[in-house]
Amino acid sequence: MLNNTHAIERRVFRTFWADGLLDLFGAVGVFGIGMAWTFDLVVVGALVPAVLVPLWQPLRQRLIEPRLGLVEFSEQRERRNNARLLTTALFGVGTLILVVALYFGRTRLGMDAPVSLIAGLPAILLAVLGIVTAFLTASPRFLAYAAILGGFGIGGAAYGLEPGPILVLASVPISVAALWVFLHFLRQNPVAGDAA
Amino acid sequence: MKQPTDIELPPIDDLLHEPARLRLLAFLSVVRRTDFTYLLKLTGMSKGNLSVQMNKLGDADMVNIEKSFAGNRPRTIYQLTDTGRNALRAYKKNMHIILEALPD
Repeated sequence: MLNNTHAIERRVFRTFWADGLLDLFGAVGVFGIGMAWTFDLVVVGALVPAVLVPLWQPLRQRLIEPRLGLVEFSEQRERRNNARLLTTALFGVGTLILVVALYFGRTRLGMDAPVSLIAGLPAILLAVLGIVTAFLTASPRFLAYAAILGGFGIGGAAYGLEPGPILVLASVPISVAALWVFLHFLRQNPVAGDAA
Repeated sequence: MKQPTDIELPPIDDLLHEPARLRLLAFLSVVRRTDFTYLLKLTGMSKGNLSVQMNKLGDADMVNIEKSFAGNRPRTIYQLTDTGRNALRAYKKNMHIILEALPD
């Protein structure tokens, strides 16, 4: 009987992601990967998410939960989220390997002509991850981040920039927007005692 | 043949038939459990009103209320009970019957 709960659950779920912490993690991730590419440390760039993930839970508990409160979603929703996260992670790792292989193997593959386009691929693929995140978290603002990444990817590549600087430049507007969302959340949601 | 006025309308639970409490139960029905602060953000209700409504639902055994501390802050966690879930199901079913019986 209570099976038409998607809209309500979506509302509850969207509120969970409205604090801007994930936005900041995304911005730091794009910046970190970009810096690693800039200094030819692509492998280090791949480790950036591995460094950020363990920070998620403690920061969320310390900064977000006292302001937003606690929610535990249904087992069905948790299973669905885990499956989607796993799919996204596999997609991310797969595309990263593909991009690295394309970038370093471009000469052997006879792809010198579209080298400038390949330089924009990491940003474009991160844009795809942004779109996936928008659907995963029911947060349309990640589509805007995806558009920024896609725009910088195409524009930067056409301008002849390397992948690293493209990502670092794209991280600037994303960081500003993420910081705004996060600070807005902190301002709007002071730590308050439980009056129940 | 029964006239429209002869239809036996099912009973409506007064406790649930109140917008604020119905909204709270609807939110609780889609999560495993949540706390006072999160419900406050979701509903936009005042602290006083939220507290009163949740206590009414707790008194009726529709919601399980668990008080604890998160660090030095008091935290009240709510979870829909089987009684509450069944009541919500019955309310939905009965309201559906009544609304279906309404003339266009």
